[in-house]
Amino acid sequence: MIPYLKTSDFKDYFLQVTDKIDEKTKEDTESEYEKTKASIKITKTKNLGIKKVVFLDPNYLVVDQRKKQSIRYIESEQKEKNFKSTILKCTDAAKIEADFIIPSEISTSEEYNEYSLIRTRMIECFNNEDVKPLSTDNEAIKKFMEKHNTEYVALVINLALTNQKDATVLLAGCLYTVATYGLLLPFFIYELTKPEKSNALVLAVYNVKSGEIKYGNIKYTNERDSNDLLTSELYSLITKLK
Amino acid sequence: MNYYKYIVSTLILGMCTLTTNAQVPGYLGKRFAIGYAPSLMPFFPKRFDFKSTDGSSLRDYAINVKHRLDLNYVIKEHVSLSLDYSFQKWGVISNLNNEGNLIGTDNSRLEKISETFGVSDFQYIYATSNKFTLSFIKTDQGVAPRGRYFAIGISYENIQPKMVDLKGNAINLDAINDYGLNVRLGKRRVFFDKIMVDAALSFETSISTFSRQGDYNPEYRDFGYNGLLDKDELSKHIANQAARHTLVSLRLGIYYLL
Repeated sequence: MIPYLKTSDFKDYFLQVTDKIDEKTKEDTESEYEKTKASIKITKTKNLGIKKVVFLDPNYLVVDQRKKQSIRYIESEQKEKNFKSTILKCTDAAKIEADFIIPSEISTSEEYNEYSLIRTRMIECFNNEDVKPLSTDNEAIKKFMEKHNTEYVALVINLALTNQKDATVLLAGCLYTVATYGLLLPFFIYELTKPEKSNALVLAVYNVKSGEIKYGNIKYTNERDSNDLLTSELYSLITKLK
Repeated sequence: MNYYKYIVSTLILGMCTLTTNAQVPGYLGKRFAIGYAPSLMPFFPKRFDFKSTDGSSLRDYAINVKHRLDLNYVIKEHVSLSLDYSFQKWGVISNLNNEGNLIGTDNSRLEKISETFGVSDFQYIYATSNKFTLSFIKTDQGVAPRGRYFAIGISYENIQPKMVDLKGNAINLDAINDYGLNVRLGKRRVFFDKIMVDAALSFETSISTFSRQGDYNPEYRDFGYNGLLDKDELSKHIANQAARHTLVSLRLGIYYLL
C-alpha cells in the first residue's frame, strides 16, 4: 500500500482532492465545495438499480496538516484494514453484493493486470470526463464482467483530516468568560486545545462497459473519523446505488 | 363531518406509507430508536422549597431529574421526528424541619396555606408532572439519527400539586397546564451499531393555565387570602418552579436502534 501511494497516479489524485477539501475547511461553505466537481463528478442520481459492485482498492488516508509529513502512512494502513469490514457491513445491510480488488491481496499476474486495467480506465475517465477512452481492452473487460458478474466498479476513498485551529475567536471568548462567567472557562480551554478534525468520504461508481461514471458523491463532515460516522455516511451513499 | 375523518385518515395513512417506503438510510437501515433520556436540572431553592425530589426530606442541594421515554423515527436523511413522554416529581413547600418534625403554627405563611385549603395542618406539598413533547430534529452534519443536531419542539405538560396532610393522605390541589416551546442542541453517537447515546442542552419556555379542580373542600374553592400564599399564588409558585426546571436542562439519553 505504501509504495503504491508513493508511486501511483492515485497519489496525485488524492492530494488534489485533499487540497480541495482543505480549501473547503478554510472557507467552510457548501457552495465553494461545488468547485470540486471538476475532479469528481457529483451526481445526485438515485435508484441506480445496482445489485453487485466491485470495490477497487478502498483507500483510507489520514492527513494531519499540522505535521511536516502530512500524510500519516502507518495510521492510514491501520485504518484501511477496518475500512474493508465497514464497507462489507454497509453493503450487507443495503443488500448489495460486493467484491474487492486490493493490490496487497493480489497473488497472480493475471489479477494484477485486471486491476491495473480497470484502475487506468477509471483514472482516464476521471481526468477526461468528456473523452471516452479507446476500447482497446474489450476482451479483458468482458472477462472481468463475467468473472465478477457485474459491470460496476466503485472507488471509495476516505480522508481523515486534522487541521490547525484558528484560535483567535476562541481566545477572545476565553478572555471574556474569565472576566464575566468563570464556569464556562473549562469549555473554552477544551475547545482551544482540541484539534480541528474533519472527514471526507468519496464514492464514485464507474461502469466498465460504457466507460462512464454512473455515480459520484462526496460526504464532508466536521467530525472525527469515528466508526459510527463512517458506517452511517457510507451506508447512506451505498443505499443510493440500489 | 365524516369527510374530515376520511381526509385526515387518508393523509395520515399516505404520510405513513410514503415515509416507510422512502429510501431513507437511517443508521444501517435502522430508522426507529427507542430510549430513556432523562433531563437533569439544578434545583435553585427559595424559602420553603423542597430540595428533595419526593418532598419527604430536606436537603441543601439537589439535582432534579425528569424521567423521559423517547421514540425517534427518521423521516428524511437529515431529519427525524421525536415523540416523548416525561415524568417528574418534586417537592414544593415543606412544613417539616431538618429533623422531620412539623414546624408548627408559628409560621404564618404555612398556616395560611392550611387555612386556604381547609386543612388543619399538612406535612408538605409536592407536585407531579406528566409531559408530552413532539420535536423535529435536524442533523446539520451526519446522517440521522446520529450526528450533531438542532431540535425544535412543542410540549404539553400537566402539573398536579398534592398536599400531604398529617395522616399522610395526599389531597389534589389545583392542576396547572403548561404549553411550551423548546429548542435543543446536542450530539448523538452510535456504539456497537445498536446503542445510541445522546447528550444535549435543552432550553424551554412555556405558558401556564390554572384550573380550579382540586379535591379540597369546595367551600374553600373560591376562597382566597390576601396573605402571602393564596391558591393563585401557590399555583404561580409551582408553575414558576416548573418553568425554572425546564428553562435550561442537560438531557442525556440512551437509545436502542430498531
